[in-house]
Amino acid sequence: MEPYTGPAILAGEASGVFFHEILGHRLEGHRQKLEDEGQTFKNLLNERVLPENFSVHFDPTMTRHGGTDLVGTYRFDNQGIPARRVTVIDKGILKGFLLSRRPIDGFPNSNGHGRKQAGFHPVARQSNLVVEVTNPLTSEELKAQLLTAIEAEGKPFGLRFEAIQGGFTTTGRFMPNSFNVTPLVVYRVYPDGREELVRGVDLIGTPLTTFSRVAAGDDQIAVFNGTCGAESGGVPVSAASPSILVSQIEVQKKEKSQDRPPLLPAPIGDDRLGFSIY
Amino acid sequence: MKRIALPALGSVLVLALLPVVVHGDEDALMQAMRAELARSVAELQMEDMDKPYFVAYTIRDTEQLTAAASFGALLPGSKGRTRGLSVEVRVGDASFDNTNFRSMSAFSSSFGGGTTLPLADNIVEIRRQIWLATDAAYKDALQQLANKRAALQNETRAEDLADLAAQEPFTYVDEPNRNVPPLEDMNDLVRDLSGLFRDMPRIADSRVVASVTYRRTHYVNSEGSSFVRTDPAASVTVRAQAQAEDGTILHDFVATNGLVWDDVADTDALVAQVKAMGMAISTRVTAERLDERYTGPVLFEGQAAAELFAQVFVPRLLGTRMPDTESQFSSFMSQSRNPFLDKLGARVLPRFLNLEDDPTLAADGFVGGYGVDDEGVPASATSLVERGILKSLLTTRNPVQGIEASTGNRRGAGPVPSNLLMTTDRGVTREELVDEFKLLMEEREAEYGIVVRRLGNPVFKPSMGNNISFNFGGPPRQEAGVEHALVAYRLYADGREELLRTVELAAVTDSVFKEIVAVSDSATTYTFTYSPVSFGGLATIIMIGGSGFASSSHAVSVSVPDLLFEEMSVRNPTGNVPHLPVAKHPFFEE
Repeated sequence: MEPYTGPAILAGEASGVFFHEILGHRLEGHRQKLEDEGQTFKNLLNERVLPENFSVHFDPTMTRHGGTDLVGTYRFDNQGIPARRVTVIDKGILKGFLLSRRPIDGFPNSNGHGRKQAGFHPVARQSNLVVEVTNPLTSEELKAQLLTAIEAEGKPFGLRFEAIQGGFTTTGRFMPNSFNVTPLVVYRVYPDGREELVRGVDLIGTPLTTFSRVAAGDDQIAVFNGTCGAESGGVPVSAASPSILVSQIEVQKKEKSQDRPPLLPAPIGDDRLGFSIY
Repeated sequence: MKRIALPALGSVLVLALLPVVVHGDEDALMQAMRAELARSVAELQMEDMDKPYFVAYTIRDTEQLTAAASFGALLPGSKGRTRGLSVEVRVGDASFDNTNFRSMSAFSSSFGGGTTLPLADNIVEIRRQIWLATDAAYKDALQQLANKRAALQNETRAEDLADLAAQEPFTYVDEPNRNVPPLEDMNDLVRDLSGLFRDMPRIADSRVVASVTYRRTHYVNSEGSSFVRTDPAASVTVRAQAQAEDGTILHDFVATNGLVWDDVADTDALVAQVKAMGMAISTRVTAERLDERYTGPVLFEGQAAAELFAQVFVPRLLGTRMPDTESQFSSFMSQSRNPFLDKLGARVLPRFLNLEDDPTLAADGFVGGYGVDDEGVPASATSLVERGILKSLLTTRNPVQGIEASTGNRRGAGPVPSNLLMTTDRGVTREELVDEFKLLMEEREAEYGIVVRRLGNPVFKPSMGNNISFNFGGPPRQEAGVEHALVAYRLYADGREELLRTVELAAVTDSVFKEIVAVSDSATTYTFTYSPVSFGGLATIIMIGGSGFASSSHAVSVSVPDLLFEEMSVRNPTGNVPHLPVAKHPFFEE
């Protein structure tokens, strides 16, 4: 598939990783004070950053969501602080940050998110990210909104991101402050509702622009469990989210190997044809 | 062996029936290697490109156990087995192929690739892995050959050497001889030995490591050579260190190397050695400092003579080829050229010394032997120095100027010595050697001379601070950085000996060996570990102190008499020293 910009649905897992990358990492406390950090949300406290029906919290005390175990669960963080739920976005308004024992302006105390891998020093990290949408749409209604958006923008098609592998983001100032969500299964959605499997694209963007395009969510919650890598090493995290509609996303071509396939047939294939006897 | 019949279909597409030589009694690894070798030789070719002219496969199946302890407590040990495949694919011809070339843009190994294999003797899976590794190595080889041709198009080669020395096919199979102790036995020994330090208040840090390796190597190449070789190795190493009042780190080590566990696990002998080492370090804590700079005769005895020879002279004996490079890279590479490549036929030792490498030697204390090297070349003795004149270096099938055949010393990435014997027909007794030493002192009107009895080893450096060292390949620099002397004395004319804390040997080069005045009539057999380096791959070797045998290292045994040098410079170690610990040792304080 070629590079494209237009409306898209991010199914639960993709949406969870999307929030993890563009929101979660930028709410980690120390990133609000380090001078080489982008500090995307530092001055947006008590400002609207999402539609009013969206709320986001981190809850390391949750062990399951729906029928799925959450791996970002712990009782105490790596600085011995009891784990607790932290609401970061309430009805679309930014309310707080994830904090280790390293204080930041206006937030002198830890909220139990000082985490690390063995051998590293703890910094503020994510736990179980939960996105909640009040008065959610059904998945049919969400798709109908996608089709409407396609038509309104005169696009030949929209996209639906079904399964994803993971993602990454850069939060500093030197490199562009951007994110990349790497999908495994992506569909083109045509104005008539028909879907077509495509390959070879990554979902990319910059945080504030993309965040302002989050339009709606449905009632289909999915959980992505993974390992998040940052300066304090790899820590297990979860992200639970409904499917969301984003009115404009961008995709770029995925990196791919230029290697030629092997010159000789596989030996097992040879065996089946009877060319080789071992 | 499973034979699959041709399907009984009328329209079956038959492409070829490969001439696979069946070696009915060979094991699964050899069968898989031979089957893929036959396919690669017969069929592997990219359109309009060279076919491989040489293909070789090596599978190393290595079982390794390590046990470690400190101060009577076990540290993390390990018990594991790995099976690794190396693939060597050469394109071009023996006079000019894809190897012996380095470019700034391509640092990948010039010897193709490899991968890890399953431990199960599953022929189909092993063949699948070999198939993919060969394919990658072949494509890589084509690229390297093209890069090499392009880089050399506008240059005249200074040394017109072939890239692969001719070699008669050779077949070798030894019997499997797995002799691996229970890990518990190793744990018991290291725990007991390390517990001895609870009676040595001056020793601040110590570690005991035991290691047993059992390796079977399978090799086959397209010239008809093949081998299955067993490489057992066992070691127990003990290192300890203390600090003198001024902060100087004083360390020492005990290292026993053998083939199997029983060779090295003599508890009584080890206990005695560890106690003696601990005592020696403790005595050095209050010993004299060498405050003045000493230049004069130095006598190396026992381990110190062997270790000095190993550190300064042995690396010079390796015929390591400098690869062709892009011109901007060549000055960097030439800095690492072994000066002995230009000394064939020249004097490198005094007239009364000879030197031989003998991998076939299996006498007591010699553990560096083997039957066939890693390129399938049969092991044989090589005379390196005769009456002081350099006759040969140790080589692989990668020719060097003046030595165009392999001496059968390829072990891992490059040439490695096996058992090195320094012999003489003019050895003198210990008393005569000391008399000679005193004579030299007298000539210089020196108050005393320096005797070195133990010399540090690079693997057993003190562990204060950073104990990881990086070595970017190649023989050491011109001025070898010799480890500090661990046990050294001032020897006075009246025969009195005065222990020194530790001393540093300044500016020791290989040429100092020409100035050996006399040697003893008895020799010390000593084993150390050596990691080969090759500019073919410009490998980064990482040595982690105290880990015993590194996986790519080989045991090398040397037999060296006591050596009396005409002149060397000796001084107290230069550089800053760390402060003593602020608090006392918790165990001994109580």
